[in-house]
Amino acid sequence: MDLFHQLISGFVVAFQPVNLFYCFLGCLIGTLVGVLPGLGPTAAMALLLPATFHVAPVTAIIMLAGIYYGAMYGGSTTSILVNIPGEAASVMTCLDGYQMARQGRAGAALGMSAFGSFIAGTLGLVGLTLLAPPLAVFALKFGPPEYFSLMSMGMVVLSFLTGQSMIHSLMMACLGVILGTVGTDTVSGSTRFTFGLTELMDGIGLVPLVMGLFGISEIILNLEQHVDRDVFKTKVKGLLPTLEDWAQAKWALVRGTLIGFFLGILPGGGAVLSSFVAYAVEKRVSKHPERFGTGTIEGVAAPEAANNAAAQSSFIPLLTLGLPANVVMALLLGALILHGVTPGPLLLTKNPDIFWGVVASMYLGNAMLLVLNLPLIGVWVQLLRIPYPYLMPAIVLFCVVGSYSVANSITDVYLMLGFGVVGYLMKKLKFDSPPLVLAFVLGPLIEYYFKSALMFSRGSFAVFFTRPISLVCLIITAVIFLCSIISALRKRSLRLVPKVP
Amino acid sequence: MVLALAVAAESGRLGFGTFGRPGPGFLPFLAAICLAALAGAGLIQTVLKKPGVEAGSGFRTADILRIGLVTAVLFAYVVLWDVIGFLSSTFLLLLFLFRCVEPLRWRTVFVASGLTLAFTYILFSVLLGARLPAGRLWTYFIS
Repeated sequence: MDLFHQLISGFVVAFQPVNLFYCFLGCLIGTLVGVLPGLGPTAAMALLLPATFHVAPVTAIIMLAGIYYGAMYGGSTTSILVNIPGEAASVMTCLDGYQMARQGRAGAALGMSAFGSFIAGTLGLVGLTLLAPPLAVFALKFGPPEYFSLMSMGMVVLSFLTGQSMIHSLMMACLGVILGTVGTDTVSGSTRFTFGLTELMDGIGLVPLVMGLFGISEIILNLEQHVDRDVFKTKVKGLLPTLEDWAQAKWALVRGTLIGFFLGILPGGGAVLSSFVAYAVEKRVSKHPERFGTGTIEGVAAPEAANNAAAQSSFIPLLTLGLPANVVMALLLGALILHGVTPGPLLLTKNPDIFWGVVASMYLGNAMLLVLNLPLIGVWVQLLRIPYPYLMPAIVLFCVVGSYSVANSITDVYLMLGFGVVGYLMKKLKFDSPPLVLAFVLGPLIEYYFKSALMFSRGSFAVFFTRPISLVCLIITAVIFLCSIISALRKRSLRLVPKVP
Repeated sequence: MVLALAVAAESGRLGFGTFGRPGPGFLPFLAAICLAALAGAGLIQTVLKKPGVEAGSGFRTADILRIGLVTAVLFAYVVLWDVIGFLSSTFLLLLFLFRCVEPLRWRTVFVASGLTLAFTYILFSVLLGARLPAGRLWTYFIS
């Protein structure tokens, strides 16, 4: 079956009423969590993961994916109207979006953000459609050594790119691997680090961990910072950008899409990093860099295009290699495994309905989001006026009940609260959560591939260095290590140079 | 560092196996050793850093008390699930959160608590079929 027919079969799956409904629900919830600061897409996906146990795997992934890319759309609304990013990937949109709103051009900023997101998201999907099948075929050559090296590389790249300190991020990754080994060892059958608790025999749940680290910790952090959310009092009108706006923003959209697409594929990339890079590149290539930060349309178009293209392209390594590029994809990997589906190169041949159904639903979801974000902008503006003290108790309750309902286990709730406190301390002490979660999800897989590779080579570590793909991954990992060490030493030597008065 | 050493010790008890047949303690031990080495590097980095170069965001006593209180209430709330059940304990928790974290008027507190509780119960218990605890106290009186 050729690509076109496979995509059509995906649309047949996506157009089934139940899938259409869950796609809409995911986009709606995604927009909601994007608009409302305090609960990001990761926590929202973890919260709703138990709710998907009652539906088919393809339906579940369609909804969870919708939350992710929906949040990318919604996050810009808060950035433009309140100057607070509703979602981390919308930080850069604040800079020019809010200034445009102050100048009475909120409508144009919101319009460009929505249209830019739609165009970039759709182009990202075309790239995903074209690139994923050949990559999956290539990934069939991968054995345990390649997977081990690739996953190790992914963790190191993520630690390098996301954290403020490489040491802190790698520490979190090690902790994540250790937490991932809690429970029964599938090979030997012995229990590890369970402290005699039968509830821990199956390991620590992904939902309590993510809810605690991303949901409860954020709530605790907000207890010590009073956040004012004054919605900019301007009438949102003229949502269609003018021809002049389009002329100014067209290349920013193209560059943003390309940057987002390629950074989204890389491990550790994703929506947040790509929006920062796209903004920086746009400012660098602009003839008037001084206009950035004062309300220029390119400053809205580039990061919005980048974060949406990245949101789509980050599905490529997950669906073809089984390798999550960022923490949200790690959660989706966990969701697929919980639903009994193994992501990777065989997903295309064994579960084509899931692969193509999810891809096709994303085309539909992008169109739905355009409708949700432009004509319904007034609804989201009203939602932004809900004071935080009204939202906070509901978020706490959703986290508690959500983590309980996964396995009807009170232990999971205690764990989630514990991780919430740990997550708060991590944020205060500048330790990042994403490497921990990624390592937690990848830990059991890394262990499996590591052991399989060693058993296959009868205990020889040379197996990781004699196979080309594995070797390339390990070389990249080593280069990143060296780069971070050199960078740290350079920073230190610069600090030690005495200042000339 | 302490955590890493504890994990390494426990991994040793679990058994490393051999390179050709790694045991259950093999990977946790490697991860613990890496964690200990990184913690050591971090410690050295902190010691060598000039004082006052990068002041981190500190902890204020008032915030610690507020956070400690909310966290303690959350743990107590989960303990109460078993005793007085989900509905009663959740209503009490919501009253606390709506009233004490950012003081709202009592009437607003009761209405908001009732609505939030009803919405959560309908969503999780009725629609998603979660078995929320009824509470031993009520079960005792009913039986």
